Amino acid sequence: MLSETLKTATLKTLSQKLKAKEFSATELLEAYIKRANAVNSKTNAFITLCEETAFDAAKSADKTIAEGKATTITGIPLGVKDNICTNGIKTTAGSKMLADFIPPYDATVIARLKNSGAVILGKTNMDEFAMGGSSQTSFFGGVCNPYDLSRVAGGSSGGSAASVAAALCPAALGSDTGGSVRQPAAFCGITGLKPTYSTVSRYGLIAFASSFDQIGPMAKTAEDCGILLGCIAGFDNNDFTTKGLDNIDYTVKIGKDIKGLVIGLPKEFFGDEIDAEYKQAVLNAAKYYEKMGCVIKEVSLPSLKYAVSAYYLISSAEAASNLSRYDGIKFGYRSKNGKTYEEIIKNTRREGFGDEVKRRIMLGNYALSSGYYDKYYSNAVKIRSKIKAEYDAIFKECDVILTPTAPSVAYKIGTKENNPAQMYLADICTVTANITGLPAVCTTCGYDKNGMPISFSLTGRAFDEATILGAADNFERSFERREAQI
Amino acid sequence: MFDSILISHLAELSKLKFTDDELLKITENMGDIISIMDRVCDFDENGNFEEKRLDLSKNIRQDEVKESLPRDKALSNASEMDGTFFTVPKVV
Repeated sequence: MLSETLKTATLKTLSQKLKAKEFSATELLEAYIKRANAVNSKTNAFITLCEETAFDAAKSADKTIAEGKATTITGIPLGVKDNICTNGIKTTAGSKMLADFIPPYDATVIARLKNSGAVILGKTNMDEFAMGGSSQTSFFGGVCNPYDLSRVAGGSSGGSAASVAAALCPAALGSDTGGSVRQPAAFCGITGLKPTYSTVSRYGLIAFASSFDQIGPMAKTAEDCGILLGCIAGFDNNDFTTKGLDNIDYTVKIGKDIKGLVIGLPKEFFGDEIDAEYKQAVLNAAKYYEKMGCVIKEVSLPSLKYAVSAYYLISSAEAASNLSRYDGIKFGYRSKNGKTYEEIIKNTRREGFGDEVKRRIMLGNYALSSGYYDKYYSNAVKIRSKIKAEYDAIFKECDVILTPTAPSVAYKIGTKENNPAQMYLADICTVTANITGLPAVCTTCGYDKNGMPISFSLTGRAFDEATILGAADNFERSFERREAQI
Repeated sequence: MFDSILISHLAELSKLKFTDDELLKITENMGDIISIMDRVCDFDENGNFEEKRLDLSKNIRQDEVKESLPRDKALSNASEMDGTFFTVPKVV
Protein backbone atom coordinates (compact mmCIF):
# COMPACT_ATOMS: atom_id res chain seq x y z
CA MET A 1 0.00 0.00 0.00
CA LEU A 2 1.25 3.48 -0.81
CA SER A 3 0.58 4.70 2.72
CA GLU A 4 2.93 2.00 4.09
CA THR A 5 5.58 2.89 1.49
CA LEU A 6 5.68 6.45 2.82
CA LYS A 7 7.02 5.44 6.22
CA THR A 8 10.37 4.23 4.88
CA ALA A 9 10.43 6.04 1.53
CA THR A 10 13.35 8.17 0.49
CA LEU A 11 13.31 10.92 -2.11
CA LYS A 12 15.38 8.74 -4.44
CA THR A 13 13.18 5.62 -4.18
CA LEU A 14 10.01 7.66 -4.67
CA SER A 15 11.54 9.31 -7.73
CA GLN A 16 12.36 5.91 -9.20
CA LYS A 17 8.85 4.64 -8.51
CA LEU A 18 7.26 7.73 -10.06
CA LYS A 19 9.32 7.27 -13.23
CA ALA A 20 8.41 3.56 -13.26
CA LYS A 21 4.77 4.67 -12.96
CA GLU A 22 4.10 2.55 -9.87
CA PHE A 23 1.91 5.45 -8.81
CA SER A 24 1.30 8.98 -10.02
CA ALA A 25 2.54 12.23 -8.46
CA THR A 26 -1.09 13.04 -7.66
CA GLU A 27 -1.59 9.72 -5.88
CA LEU A 28 1.66 10.22 -3.97
CA LEU A 29 0.58 13.69 -2.89
CA GLU A 30 -2.85 12.40 -1.81
CA ALA A 31 -1.15 9.82 0.40
CA TYR A 32 1.12 12.44 2.03
CA ILE A 33 -1.75 14.90 2.52
CA LYS A 34 -3.84 12.15 4.15
CA ARG A 35 -0.95 11.26 6.47
CA ALA A 36 -0.21 14.94 7.25
CA ASN A 37 -3.86 15.60 8.13
CA ALA A 38 -3.88 12.56 10.42
CA VAL A 39 -0.52 13.10 12.13
CA ASN A 40 0.30 16.81 12.06
CA SER A 41 -1.76 17.62 15.15
CA LYS A 42 0.57 15.34 17.15
CA THR A 43 3.83 16.96 16.02
CA ASN A 44 2.68 20.43 14.86
CA ALA A 45 5.34 20.13 12.14
CA PHE A 46 3.41 22.15 9.56
CA ILE A 47 2.04 25.67 10.01
CA THR A 48 0.41 25.65 6.55
CA LEU A 49 -0.52 22.76 4.24
CA CYS A 50 -0.68 24.00 0.65
CA GLU A 51 -3.17 21.45 -0.68
CA GLU A 52 -4.59 23.42 -3.61
CA THR A 53 -1.30 24.63 -5.11
CA ALA A 54 0.34 21.28 -4.35
CA PHE A 55 -2.29 19.41 -6.38
CA ASP A 56 -1.78 21.81 -9.30
CA ALA A 57 1.96 21.12 -9.13
CA ALA A 58 1.38 17.35 -8.87
CA LYS A 59 -0.85 17.35 -11.98
CA SER A 60 1.79 19.29 -13.87
CA ALA A 61 4.45 16.85 -12.64
CA ASP A 62 2.39 13.90 -13.92
CA LYS A 63 2.36 15.49 -17.38
CA THR A 64 6.12 16.01 -17.26
CA ILE A 65 6.71 12.41 -16.15
CA ALA A 66 4.44 11.11 -18.95
CA GLU A 67 6.47 13.14 -21.45
CA GLY A 68 9.67 11.53 -20.18
CA LYS A 69 11.13 14.88 -19.05
CA ALA A 70 11.15 14.33 -15.29
CA THR A 71 14.05 15.39 -13.06
CA THR A 72 14.92 13.50 -9.87
CA ILE A 73 12.59 15.71 -7.85
CA THR A 74 9.69 16.00 -10.28
CA GLY A 75 6.51 15.10 -8.42
CA ILE A 76 8.24 14.86 -5.02
CA PRO A 77 6.32 16.56 -2.16
CA LEU A 78 8.59 18.73 0.01
CA GLY A 79 8.30 20.65 3.24
CA VAL A 80 9.65 24.21 3.27
CA LYS A 81 10.67 26.03 6.42
CA ASP A 82 8.35 28.95 6.98
CA ASN A 83 11.08 31.58 6.71
CA ILE A 84 11.45 30.91 2.97
CA CYS A 85 9.17 33.12 0.88
CA THR A 86 6.56 31.40 -1.25
CA ASN A 87 4.57 33.58 -3.64
CA GLY A 88 0.93 33.75 -2.61
CA ILE A 89 1.41 31.39 0.35
CA LYS A 90 1.57 32.68 3.91
CA THR A 91 5.17 32.91 5.20
CA THR A 92 5.28 33.62 8.91
CA ALA A 93 8.83 32.96 10.18
CA GLY A 94 7.00 31.43 13.18
CA SER A 95 6.15 34.93 14.38
CA LYS A 96 3.07 37.02 15.22
CA MET A 97 4.91 39.81 13.37
CA LEU A 98 4.37 37.98 10.07
CA ALA A 99 1.35 35.85 10.97
CA ASP A 100 -0.63 37.09 7.96
CA PHE A 101 2.24 37.96 5.62
CA ILE A 102 1.80 36.68 2.07
CA PRO A 103 4.97 37.22 0.01
CA PRO A 104 4.51 38.68 -3.49
CA TYR A 105 7.45 36.67 -4.81
CA ASP A 106 9.16 33.27 -4.55
CA ALA A 107 12.55 32.80 -2.92
CA THR A 108 15.14 31.72 -5.48
CA VAL A 109 15.25 28.20 -4.00
CA ILE A 110 11.46 27.93 -4.43
CA ALA A 111 11.66 29.08 -8.06
CA ARG A 112 14.34 26.44 -8.68
CA LEU A 113 12.26 23.71 -7.01
CA LYS A 114 9.20 24.66 -9.05
CA ASN A 115 11.24 24.66 -12.29
CA SER A 116 12.39 21.14 -11.44
CA GLY A 117 8.80 19.99 -10.92
CA ALA A 118 8.89 19.57 -7.14
CA VAL A 119 5.64 19.85 -5.20
CA ILE A 120 5.57 22.26 -2.23
CA LEU A 121 3.48 20.32 0.28
CA GLY A 122 3.54 22.79 3.15
CA LYS A 123 5.35 25.39 5.25
CA THR A 124 7.02 23.98 8.30
CA ASN A 125 7.05 25.28 11.85
CA MET A 126 10.11 26.84 13.42
CA ASP A 127 11.53 28.93 16.23
CA GLU A 128 10.49 32.54 15.76
CA PHE A 129 12.71 34.24 13.16
CA ALA A 130 14.96 31.17 13.32
CA MET A 131 16.20 32.20 16.77
CA GLY A 132 16.26 29.12 18.93
CA GLY A 133 17.26 25.50 19.32
CA SER A 134 13.97 23.89 20.32
CA SER A 135 11.19 25.07 17.95
CA GLN A 136 9.23 25.96 21.09
CA THR A 137 9.29 29.74 20.55
CA SER A 138 6.96 29.63 17.53
CA PHE A 139 3.87 31.84 17.74
CA PHE A 140 2.02 28.82 16.30
CA GLY A 141 2.92 26.44 19.12
CA GLY A 142 5.93 24.21 19.61
CA VAL A 143 6.98 21.21 17.54
CA CYS A 144 7.01 17.76 19.16
CA ASN A 145 9.61 15.13 18.40
CA PRO A 146 8.17 12.17 16.44
CA TYR A 147 10.40 9.77 18.43
CA ASP A 148 8.86 10.98 21.70
CA LEU A 149 6.11 13.56 21.58
CA SER A 150 7.02 14.82 25.07
CA ARG A 151 10.41 15.99 23.76
CA VAL A 152 11.50 18.91 21.63
CA ALA A 153 12.17 18.49 17.92
CA GLY A 154 15.17 20.82 18.13
CA GLY A 155 15.45 24.06 16.23
CA SER A 156 15.09 26.26 14.61
CA SER A 157 14.12 23.98 11.67
CA GLY A 158 12.21 21.66 13.99
CA GLY A 159 9.13 21.49 11.80
CA SER A 160 11.15 20.43 8.76
CA ALA A 161 13.00 17.81 10.81
CA ALA A 162 9.81 16.46 12.39
CA SER A 163 7.97 16.39 9.05
CA VAL A 164 10.65 14.14 7.53
CA ALA A 165 11.03 11.97 10.64
CA ALA A 166 7.25 11.48 10.85
CA ALA A 167 7.12 10.65 7.11
CA LEU A 168 4.89 13.62 6.32
CA CYS A 169 7.21 14.35 3.40
CA PRO A 170 10.38 12.59 2.15
CA ALA A 171 12.54 15.72 2.40
CA ALA A 172 12.37 19.34 3.43
CA LEU A 173 14.29 22.60 3.36
CA GLY A 174 15.55 24.18 6.52
CA SER A 175 17.84 27.10 7.23
CA ASP A 176 21.02 27.02 9.31
CA THR A 177 22.55 30.08 10.98
CA GLY A 178 24.12 28.44 14.05
CA GLY A 179 23.07 24.80 13.67
CA SER A 180 19.38 25.11 12.85
CA VAL A 181 19.38 22.39 10.18
CA ARG A 182 21.82 20.03 11.87
CA GLN A 183 20.64 20.10 15.49
CA PRO A 184 16.95 19.36 14.74
CA ALA A 185 18.05 16.74 12.20
CA ALA A 186 20.09 15.16 15.02
CA PHE A 187 17.21 15.35 17.51
CA CYS A 188 14.77 13.83 15.00
CA GLY A 189 17.05 11.08 13.71
CA ILE A 190 17.45 12.24 10.10
CA THR A 191 20.22 13.66 7.90
CA GLY A 192 20.74 17.39 7.51
CA LEU A 193 23.26 19.46 5.58
CA LYS A 194 24.43 23.03 5.99
CA PRO A 195 26.08 23.90 2.67
CA THR A 196 29.16 26.08 2.33
CA TYR A 197 28.17 29.71 2.78
CA SER A 198 27.38 31.19 -0.67
CA THR A 199 26.35 27.87 -2.23
CA VAL A 200 22.63 28.53 -1.96
CA SER A 201 20.95 31.87 -2.62
CA ARG A 202 19.51 33.69 0.40
CA TYR A 203 17.16 35.74 -1.78
CA GLY A 204 13.72 35.22 -0.28
CA LEU A 205 15.08 33.75 2.96
CA ILE A 206 13.82 35.94 5.79
CA ALA A 207 17.12 37.27 7.09
CA PHE A 208 18.45 36.51 10.55
CA ALA A 209 22.26 36.85 10.36
CA SER A 210 23.29 37.52 6.79
CA SER A 211 26.90 36.35 7.05
CA PHE A 212 25.83 33.00 8.55
CA ASP A 213 22.42 32.09 7.04
CA GLN A 214 22.27 29.19 4.58
CA ILE A 215 19.32 27.15 3.37
CA GLY A 216 19.99 23.41 3.60
CA PRO A 217 18.31 20.10 2.75
CA MET A 218 16.92 17.70 5.37
CA ALA A 219 16.05 14.12 4.45
CA LYS A 220 16.45 10.50 5.56
CA THR A 221 19.72 9.97 3.70
CA ALA A 222 22.85 11.83 2.69
CA GLU A 223 22.11 10.91 -0.93
CA ASP A 224 18.72 12.60 -0.77
CA CYS A 225 20.36 15.70 0.73
CA GLY A 226 22.81 15.72 -2.19
CA ILE A 227 19.99 15.42 -4.72
CA LEU A 228 18.05 18.29 -3.17
CA LEU A 229 21.14 20.48 -2.82
CA GLY A 230 21.87 20.02 -6.52
CA CYS A 231 18.45 21.43 -7.29
CA ILE A 232 18.66 24.56 -5.10
CA ALA A 233 22.36 25.52 -5.33
CA GLY A 234 23.86 27.97 -7.78
CA PHE A 235 24.64 31.54 -8.67
CA ASP A 236 21.85 34.06 -8.26
CA ASN A 237 21.85 37.66 -9.51
CA ASN A 238 19.66 38.55 -6.55
CA ASP A 239 22.25 37.39 -3.99
CA PHE A 240 25.68 38.70 -4.79
CA THR A 241 27.32 36.46 -2.20
CA THR A 242 26.51 33.35 -4.23
CA LYS A 243 29.25 31.55 -6.11
CA GLY A 244 28.72 30.33 -9.67
CA LEU A 245 28.27 26.70 -8.70
CA ASP A 246 25.47 25.59 -11.00
CA ASN A 247 24.93 22.03 -12.23
CA ILE A 248 27.16 20.40 -9.63
CA ASP A 249 26.44 16.73 -8.88
CA TYR A 250 26.69 16.58 -5.10
CA THR A 251 26.02 12.81 -5.19
CA VAL A 252 29.21 12.06 -7.14
CA LYS A 253 30.83 10.31 -4.15
CA ILE A 254 27.72 8.44 -2.99
CA GLY A 255 28.42 4.71 -2.89
CA LYS A 256 32.14 5.25 -3.43
CA ASP A 257 34.99 3.77 -1.41
CA ILE A 258 36.26 6.00 1.40
CA LYS A 259 39.47 4.11 2.14
CA GLY A 260 42.30 6.50 2.96
CA LEU A 261 40.02 9.38 3.98
CA VAL A 262 41.71 11.27 6.83
CA ILE A 263 39.22 12.13 9.58
CA GLY A 264 40.14 14.62 12.29
CA LEU A 265 38.67 14.40 15.80
CA PRO A 266 39.14 17.76 17.57
CA LYS A 267 39.66 16.95 21.25
CA GLU A 268 37.85 20.09 22.40
CA PHE A 269 34.57 18.72 20.96
CA PHE A 270 34.70 15.66 23.21
CA GLY A 271 34.84 17.32 26.63
CA ASP A 272 32.62 17.01 29.71
CA GLU A 273 29.83 19.13 28.24
CA ILE A 274 28.98 16.21 25.91
CA ASP A 275 26.78 13.52 27.47
CA ALA A 276 28.83 10.32 28.04
CA GLU A 277 26.45 7.98 26.15
CA TYR A 278 26.29 10.46 23.26
CA LYS A 279 30.08 10.79 23.11
CA GLN A 280 30.54 7.01 23.05
CA ALA A 281 28.14 6.57 20.13
CA VAL A 282 30.02 9.23 18.15
CA LEU A 283 33.39 7.63 18.97
CA ASN A 284 31.94 4.29 17.82
CA ALA A 285 31.20 5.96 14.49
CA ALA A 286 34.87 6.98 14.30
CA LYS A 287 35.83 3.34 14.95
CA TYR A 288 33.54 2.28 12.08
CA TYR A 289 35.35 4.65 9.74
CA GLU A 290 38.69 3.27 10.91
CA LYS A 291 37.49 -0.26 10.05
CA MET A 292 36.56 1.02 6.58
CA GLY A 293 40.18 2.05 6.03
CA CYS A 294 40.01 5.70 7.03
CA VAL A 295 42.77 7.32 9.06
CA ILE A 296 41.62 8.82 12.35
CA LYS A 297 43.69 11.72 13.70
CA GLU A 298 43.35 13.65 16.91
CA VAL A 299 43.47 17.37 16.16
CA SER A 300 42.96 20.52 18.17
CA LEU A 301 40.79 23.62 17.92
CA PRO A 302 41.98 25.74 20.86
CA SER A 303 39.67 28.69 20.09
CA LEU A 304 36.52 26.59 20.41
CA LYS A 305 36.06 28.06 23.91
CA TYR A 306 35.27 31.44 22.35
CA ALA A 307 33.05 30.12 19.56
CA VAL A 308 29.60 30.35 21.17
CA SER A 309 30.23 33.88 22.47
CA ALA A 310 31.64 35.09 19.15
CA TYR A 311 28.73 33.51 17.26
CA TYR A 312 26.05 35.08 19.45
CA LEU A 313 27.65 38.52 19.38
CA ILE A 314 28.03 38.63 15.59
CA SER A 315 24.72 36.94 14.75
CA SER A 316 22.76 39.09 17.19
CA ALA A 317 24.41 42.26 15.85
CA GLU A 318 23.37 41.28 12.32
CA ALA A 319 19.90 40.28 13.54
CA ALA A 320 19.42 43.63 15.30
CA SER A 321 20.03 45.30 11.96
CA ASN A 322 17.97 42.85 9.88
CA LEU A 323 14.97 42.95 12.20
CA SER A 324 14.82 46.73 12.30
CA ARG A 325 12.65 46.51 9.17
CA TYR A 326 9.75 45.15 11.23
CA ASP A 327 7.95 48.32 12.15
CA GLY A 328 4.40 47.52 11.03
CA ILE A 329 4.37 50.25 8.38
CA LYS A 330 4.83 48.49 5.04
CA PHE A 331 3.93 44.89 5.94
CA GLY A 332 3.43 42.62 8.91
CA TYR A 333 1.67 43.16 12.21
CA ARG A 334 0.87 46.73 13.20
CA SER A 335 -0.18 47.66 16.71
CA LYS A 336 -3.45 49.49 17.24
CA ASN A 337 -1.89 51.26 20.25
CA GLY A 338 -0.05 54.52 19.87
CA LYS A 339 -0.76 58.02 18.63
CA THR A 340 2.65 58.93 17.18
CA TYR A 341 4.77 57.26 14.52
CA GLU A 342 7.37 56.32 17.13
CA GLU A 343 4.75 54.85 19.50
CA ILE A 344 3.23 52.73 16.73
CA ILE A 345 6.64 51.29 15.88
CA LYS A 346 7.60 50.54 19.48
CA ASN A 347 4.22 49.00 20.31
CA THR A 348 4.28 46.97 17.11
CA ARG A 349 7.65 45.49 18.01
CA ARG A 350 6.64 45.02 21.64
CA GLU A 351 3.48 43.12 20.70
CA GLY A 352 4.76 41.41 17.54
CA PHE A 353 8.04 39.89 18.74
CA GLY A 354 8.49 37.09 21.26
CA ASP A 355 10.92 37.20 24.20
CA GLU A 356 13.85 35.42 22.56
CA VAL A 357 13.77 37.71 19.53
CA LYS A 358 13.75 40.74 21.81
CA ARG A 359 16.73 39.39 23.78
CA ARG A 360 18.76 38.86 20.61
CA ILE A 361 17.98 42.33 19.28
CA MET A 362 19.01 43.83 22.62
CA LEU A 363 22.20 41.75 22.69
CA GLY A 364 23.03 42.79 19.14
CA ASN A 365 22.60 46.48 19.88
CA TYR A 366 24.64 46.06 23.05
CA ALA A 367 27.52 44.52 21.07
CA LEU A 368 27.44 47.34 18.53
CA SER A 369 26.85 50.29 20.81
CA SER A 370 29.31 52.97 21.77
CA GLY A 371 31.55 51.88 24.61
CA TYR A 372 31.00 48.16 23.97
CA TYR A 373 31.79 47.73 20.26
CA ASP A 374 35.55 47.20 20.65
CA LYS A 375 35.22 44.92 23.66
CA TYR A 376 32.54 42.68 22.17
CA TYR A 377 31.82 42.92 18.44
CA SER A 378 35.36 43.75 17.34
CA ASN A 379 36.82 40.92 19.43
CA ALA A 380 34.18 38.52 18.14
CA VAL A 381 35.20 39.30 14.55
CA LYS A 382 38.86 38.65 15.38
CA ILE A 383 37.91 35.34 17.01
CA ARG A 384 36.03 34.45 13.82
CA SER A 385 39.23 34.94 11.80
CA LYS A 386 41.23 32.91 14.33
CA ILE A 387 38.77 29.99 14.24
CA LYS A 388 38.90 30.05 10.41
CA ALA A 389 42.69 29.90 10.58
CA GLU A 390 42.58 26.93 12.98
CA TYR A 391 40.21 25.03 10.67
CA ASP A 392 42.45 25.83 7.68
CA ALA A 393 45.40 24.33 9.58
CA ILE A 394 43.41 21.16 10.37
CA PHE A 395 42.37 20.77 6.73
CA LYS A 396 46.04 20.73 5.70
CA GLU A 397 46.23 17.31 7.41
CA CYS A 398 42.62 16.06 7.28
CA ASP A 399 39.87 15.66 4.70
CA VAL A 400 36.92 15.88 7.08
CA ILE A 401 36.34 16.58 10.77
CA LEU A 402 34.06 14.37 12.89
CA THR A 403 32.27 15.76 15.94
CA PRO A 404 29.08 15.20 17.95
CA THR A 405 26.15 17.18 16.49
CA ALA A 406 24.75 18.12 19.91
CA PRO A 407 25.77 17.73 23.56
CA SER A 408 22.77 15.49 24.27
CA VAL A 409 19.71 13.89 22.75
CA ALA A 410 16.40 15.76 22.49
CA TYR A 411 15.24 16.81 25.95
CA LYS A 412 11.78 16.96 27.51
CA ILE A 413 9.69 20.00 26.54
CA GLY A 414 9.80 22.65 29.26
CA THR A 415 13.06 21.53 30.90
CA LYS A 416 15.69 23.69 29.22
CA GLU A 417 14.16 26.26 26.88
CA ASN A 418 13.44 28.74 29.69
CA ASN A 419 17.12 29.25 30.44
CA PRO A 420 18.40 31.26 27.47
CA ALA A 421 22.06 31.32 28.53
CA GLN A 422 22.16 27.52 28.91
CA MET A 423 20.44 27.10 25.55
CA TYR A 424 23.13 29.22 23.89
CA LEU A 425 25.93 27.08 25.35
CA ALA A 426 24.31 23.96 23.84
CA ASP A 427 25.19 25.26 20.37
CA ILE A 428 28.88 24.53 20.94
CA CYS A 429 28.89 21.60 18.49
CA THR A 430 27.39 23.45 15.54
CA VAL A 431 28.33 27.15 15.48
CA THR A 432 31.87 26.82 14.11
CA ALA A 433 30.59 25.60 10.73
CA ASN A 434 28.63 28.84 10.44
CA ILE A 435 31.48 31.00 11.78
CA THR A 436 33.82 29.55 9.15
CA GLY A 437 31.23 29.12 6.37
CA LEU A 438 32.27 25.48 5.93
CA PRO A 439 29.86 22.70 4.91
CA ALA A 440 28.67 20.23 7.54
CA VAL A 441 26.38 17.20 7.36
CA CYS A 442 24.95 15.24 10.28
CA THR A 443 23.50 11.75 10.38
CA THR A 444 22.24 9.32 13.03
CA CYS A 445 24.77 6.97 14.59
CA GLY A 446 22.90 5.50 17.54
CA TYR A 447 20.00 5.64 19.97
CA ASP A 448 20.17 6.27 23.71
CA LYS A 449 18.60 4.08 26.40
CA ASN A 450 15.24 5.81 25.75
CA GLY A 451 15.45 5.28 22.01
CA MET A 452 16.30 8.90 21.22
CA PRO A 453 18.59 9.51 18.23
CA ILE A 454 22.29 10.29 18.60
CA SER A 455 24.07 12.01 15.71
CA PHE A 456 27.55 12.85 14.46
CA SER A 457 28.59 15.62 12.09
CA LEU A 458 31.17 15.72 9.36
CA THR A 459 32.60 19.13 8.47
CA GLY A 460 34.45 19.47 5.19
CA ARG A 461 36.55 21.90 3.22
CA ALA A 462 34.75 24.77 1.54
CA PHE A 463 32.62 23.57 -1.39
CA ASP A 464 33.51 19.91 -0.70
CA GLU A 465 29.96 18.80 0.10
CA ALA A 466 30.50 15.75 -2.11
CA THR A 467 33.16 14.30 0.24
CA ILE A 468 31.19 14.74 3.46
CA LEU A 469 28.00 13.44 1.84
CA GLY A 470 29.91 10.44 0.48
CA ALA A 471 31.36 9.68 3.91
CA ALA A 472 27.98 10.09 5.64
CA ASP A 473 26.36 7.85 3.01
CA ASN A 474 28.98 5.17 3.61
CA PHE A 475 28.09 5.08 7.32
CA GLU A 476 24.34 5.10 6.62
CA ARG A 477 24.59 2.01 4.39
CA SER A 478 25.84 -0.03 7.36
CA PHE A 479 23.73 1.60 10.04
CA GLU A 480 20.32 0.24 10.98
CA ARG A 481 18.20 3.34 11.22
CA ARG A 482 14.98 3.14 13.27
CA GLU A 483 11.85 4.92 12.05
CA ALA A 484 9.81 7.02 14.46
CA GLN A 485 6.72 5.07 15.47
CA ILE A 486 4.09 7.71 14.88
CA MET B 1 27.35 46.51 34.74
CA PHE B 2 24.00 45.38 33.37
CA ASP B 3 21.47 47.62 35.07
CA SER B 4 18.09 49.14 34.29
CA ILE B 5 19.70 52.31 32.86
CA LEU B 6 21.66 50.31 30.33
CA ILE B 7 18.62 48.13 29.53
CA SER B 8 16.49 51.22 28.96
CA HIS B 9 19.15 52.65 26.63
CA LEU B 10 19.29 49.37 24.69
CA ALA B 11 15.50 49.23 24.53
CA GLU B 12 15.51 52.69 22.96
CA LEU B 13 18.14 51.63 20.39
CA SER B 14 16.09 48.50 19.65
CA LYS B 15 12.78 50.40 19.42
CA LEU B 16 11.30 48.10 22.05
CA LYS B 17 9.11 48.85 25.05
CA PHE B 18 8.95 46.93 28.33
CA THR B 19 6.78 47.07 31.44
CA ASP B 20 8.60 47.36 34.79
CA ASP B 21 8.22 43.61 35.41
CA GLU B 22 9.49 42.81 31.94
CA LEU B 23 12.46 45.13 32.51
CA LEU B 24 13.38 43.22 35.65
CA LYS B 25 13.14 39.88 33.87
CA ILE B 26 15.12 40.94 30.84
CA THR B 27 17.80 42.60 32.99
CA GLU B 28 18.30 39.27 34.76
CA ASN B 29 18.34 37.30 31.47
CA MET B 30 20.74 39.71 29.83
CA GLY B 31 23.05 39.62 32.83
CA ASP B 32 23.37 35.81 32.48
CA ILE B 33 23.88 36.10 28.73
CA ILE B 34 26.52 38.82 28.97
CA SER B 35 28.51 36.74 31.46
CA ILE B 36 28.91 34.19 28.63
CA MET B 37 29.66 36.89 26.06
CA ASP B 38 32.39 38.22 28.36
CA ARG B 39 34.52 35.22 27.32
CA VAL B 40 35.50 37.11 24.17
CA CYS B 41 37.23 39.69 26.38
CA ASP B 42 39.79 37.01 27.32
CA PHE B 43 40.82 36.70 23.68
CA ASP B 44 44.35 37.98 23.44
CA GLU B 45 46.27 36.66 20.52
CA ASN B 46 49.29 37.95 18.66
CA GLY B 47 48.74 37.93 14.98
CA ASN B 48 46.59 39.63 12.46
CA PHE B 49 43.06 38.45 13.03
CA GLU B 50 41.25 41.40 11.56
CA GLU B 51 38.28 40.36 9.48
CA LYS B 52 39.26 39.50 5.93
CA ARG B 53 36.54 41.04 3.86
CA LEU B 54 35.45 39.15 0.76
CA ASP B 55 36.07 40.86 -2.55
CA LEU B 56 32.61 40.69 -4.06
CA SER B 57 33.17 43.54 -6.53
CA LYS B 58 33.08 41.12 -9.49
CA ASN B 59 29.64 39.87 -8.41
CA ILE B 60 27.89 43.23 -8.65
CA ARG B 61 25.29 43.19 -11.42
CA GLN B 62 24.94 45.82 -14.12
CA ASP B 63 22.95 48.88 -13.13
CA GLU B 64 20.06 48.29 -15.53
CA VAL B 65 16.58 49.72 -15.20
CA LYS B 66 14.09 46.91 -14.70
CA GLU B 67 10.49 46.55 -13.59
CA SER B 68 10.12 46.66 -9.84
CA LEU B 69 7.34 45.32 -7.63
CA PRO B 70 3.96 46.64 -8.87
CA ARG B 71 2.33 49.12 -6.48
CA ASP B 72 -0.66 46.91 -5.68
CA LYS B 73 1.63 44.02 -4.67
CA ALA B 74 3.85 46.35 -2.64
CA LEU B 75 0.79 47.56 -0.72
CA SER B 76 -0.87 44.15 -0.42
CA ASN B 77 0.54 43.34 3.02
CA ALA B 78 0.12 46.77 4.57
CA SER B 79 -2.24 47.10 7.55
CA GLU B 80 -3.05 50.68 6.66
CA MET B 81 -2.85 52.25 3.24
CA ASP B 82 -4.96 54.44 1.00
CA GLY B 83 -4.51 52.51 -2.21
CA THR B 84 -1.53 54.59 -3.24
CA PHE B 85 0.60 55.09 -0.13
CA PHE B 86 1.24 53.47 3.24
CA THR B 87 -0.45 55.61 5.87
CA VAL B 88 1.13 56.55 9.21
CA PRO B 89 0.40 59.03 12.03
CA LYS B 90 1.48 62.57 11.24
CA VAL B 91 5.25 62.85 11.55
CA VAL B 92 5.76 66.61 11.20
